[in-house]
Amino acid sequence: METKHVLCATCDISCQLVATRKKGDTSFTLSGDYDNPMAPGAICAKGRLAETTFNHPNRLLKPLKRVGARGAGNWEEISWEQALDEIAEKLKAIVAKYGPESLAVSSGPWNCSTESGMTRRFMNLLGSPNYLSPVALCLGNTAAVNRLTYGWMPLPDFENTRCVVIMGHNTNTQSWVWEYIRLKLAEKRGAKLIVFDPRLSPQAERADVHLPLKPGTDVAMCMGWINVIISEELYDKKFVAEWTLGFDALRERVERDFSLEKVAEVTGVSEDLIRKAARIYAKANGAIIPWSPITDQHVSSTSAIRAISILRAITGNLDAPGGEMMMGSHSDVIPESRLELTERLSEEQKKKQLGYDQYPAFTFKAADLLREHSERVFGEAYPNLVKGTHMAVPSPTFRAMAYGDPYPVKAFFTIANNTLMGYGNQHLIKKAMLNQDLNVCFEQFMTPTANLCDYVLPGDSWMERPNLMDTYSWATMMMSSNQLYEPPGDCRNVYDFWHDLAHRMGLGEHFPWETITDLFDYRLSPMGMNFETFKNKYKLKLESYKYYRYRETGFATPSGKVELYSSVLEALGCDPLPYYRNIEVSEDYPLKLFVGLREPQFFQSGQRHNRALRKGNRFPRTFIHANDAARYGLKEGEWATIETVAGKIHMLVTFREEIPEGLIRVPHGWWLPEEDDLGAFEHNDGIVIPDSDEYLDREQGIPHLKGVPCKIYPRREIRNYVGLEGVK
Amino acid sequence: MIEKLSVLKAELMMKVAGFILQKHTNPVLNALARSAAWMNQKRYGSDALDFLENEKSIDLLDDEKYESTEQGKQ
Repeated sequence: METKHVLCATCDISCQLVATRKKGDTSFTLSGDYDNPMAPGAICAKGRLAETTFNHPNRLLKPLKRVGARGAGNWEEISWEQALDEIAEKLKAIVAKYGPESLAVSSGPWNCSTESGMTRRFMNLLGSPNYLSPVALCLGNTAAVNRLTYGWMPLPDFENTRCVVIMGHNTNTQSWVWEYIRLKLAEKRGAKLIVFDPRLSPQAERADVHLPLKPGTDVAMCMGWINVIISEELYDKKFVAEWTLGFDALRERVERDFSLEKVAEVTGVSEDLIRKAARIYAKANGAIIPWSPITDQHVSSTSAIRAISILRAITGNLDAPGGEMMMGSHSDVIPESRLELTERLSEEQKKKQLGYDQYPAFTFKAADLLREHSERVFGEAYPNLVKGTHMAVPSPTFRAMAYGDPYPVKAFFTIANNTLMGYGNQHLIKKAMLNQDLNVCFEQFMTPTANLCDYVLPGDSWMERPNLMDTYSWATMMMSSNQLYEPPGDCRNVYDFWHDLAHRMGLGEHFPWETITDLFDYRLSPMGMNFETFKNKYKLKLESYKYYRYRETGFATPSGKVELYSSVLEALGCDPLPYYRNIEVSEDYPLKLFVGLREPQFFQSGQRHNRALRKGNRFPRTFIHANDAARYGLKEGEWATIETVAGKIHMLVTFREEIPEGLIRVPHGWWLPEEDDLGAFEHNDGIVIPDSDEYLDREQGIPHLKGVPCKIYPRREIRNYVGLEGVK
Repeated sequence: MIEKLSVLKAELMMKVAGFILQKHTNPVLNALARSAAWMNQKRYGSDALDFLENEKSIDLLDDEKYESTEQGKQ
């Protein structure tokens, strides 16, 4: 029996798997690693069936060059050499004409998990600050906003915690598996569970306290908790006195704007329940609020993330056992932030980053205010936590691409990222891509995004490459992964793409490593071992972590303290304290939709081509309460149209009792690979997500996905679908 | 004192986790690591990971029950 350890990169969780095959077999069987003490047995259906996803007739095997109109789906196969020669020539011409900032790159970090900072290295050397990523509205922005308060993004100490607060996302065996296992084990140890969720999810059902708040009111709820904690003196007085800045201003803000009466009115949750939950959290000897994408996707996201950060701090949970660990990155390994060579990007170019002045919270404008403090505490001037700090802002970037305002962006690279489906205002993204002189896609499948490109380059999968994974620079855990198969056809690693393009662009001296393994060897050189040795010695190398480290170093903020009142936000011209803002329904749009509730068969816009997964989930489904369905003339199992100010999409109707009346659910990332038009412009949530100013978070410029006013009615257009018959 | 003890315990647990996650070539250390992994689970009871097998959730969507219908056609 051949056994290898491998790190799944189907989603962002990175479960450690065991791959086994009998002698003579060609295929490996994947299972969870039950010896892994962190998340024993973690694997989901997507991971288990990964081979059926990648070893698939739809897989791109050769570089493709567009012939005919963009989006028409006509291609010719070319060699990598021809593709890279032509891309380099075109990019050089665009840069010469419009400047290096005319290149924007959108990268999905998980699908090219060996990227190792090379995308930004290339861009920094070229002079473009316009790197964007879907992590702008999922985890990356949380990391950047956490830094404003205490300098790092903490990792929850599930192992020792006594209380877990989950904000909306529903962990289970198929989504958030790692966290689900950690949570269930914590519950077995007696940890309390508090769940914020408008719907009565399975997790909410078993919680000690379920707070069925209205969508988009999380910040108000957190500020209500802070009110209880301050007024009942449940905060950590010693910590607050010695290590925080702005406690009085915070107290003033909660007393003025967040009385429990008002919080109860805004959230729809009773004062008693708010008080009860706040007390459980504050009194627990070690409590955690793990990251949730819910608060990443609000019109008041920055305030919500800040309010969560403040809760963690004033209850003394930062760097405390059972609380929130600010680990820094692994000191034995050259971090991605150093590989990115951010210092090579000039101050002038940084200021050209799209969104820099308008929505500065996760741009260079904020990162530069933390630079020296981060260097002091963590030894990294630009820690690129979960690849989400110092990014360009999506909406201003797509506007620049579409309209040339404030300057033209004329080359767009989409790296392992279905950009068209991944942000708000999908019509704008289409317009933006159609206005480019050069669109390049690095992908595994012909996605709606790839279909609008000029060159589509076939990428490898996580089963076809080795990996050295640094927990997205978030924590002191370094993981290794074996290559199980050779990449099929001409599929190549993302490192090869940047390496070969850099050499054609005159940047070759900065990409001296011939292969991705050579780069891993370089990253491990401080340990005095190469990747092969590391992989054979460690599945995961956990560096010693010291609790209460801040007592020696201070916090990586301008004051060296936890900034309850954020001096960085103040310097950026933003409100230094959390505030509440939401979008309300109207006569035209009487319901609210929320995007989310991960589907077990898919991660984001992936896997729709895989019959083994798709047969369990064939079409996008909206969930709606039966009373609302009756009110709007909808029948279960039939198609409905959902409309907002931004556009309309179609979904099958499913009645769900646990969805409150007035709220409907829209799943993320739906397209239909079996359809001629890929079903790209009729079902994806991005079509109905507006990105005009009033729908964006003021500090980050990210769109509102949790509570967009909408209407729903029976679908009028007739469309015949190919359906499962066309899915292989 | 309580704080020191809880820090000591937490840091020790982390070291044990690190030890388990190494691939030991020494058979004694390997056996020790496997025992530690086994004990780590057993502290949650004899069927520590029962929740991985027994989950019944409305969120585990499954269309297969519609296999023979015209679902999705209009």
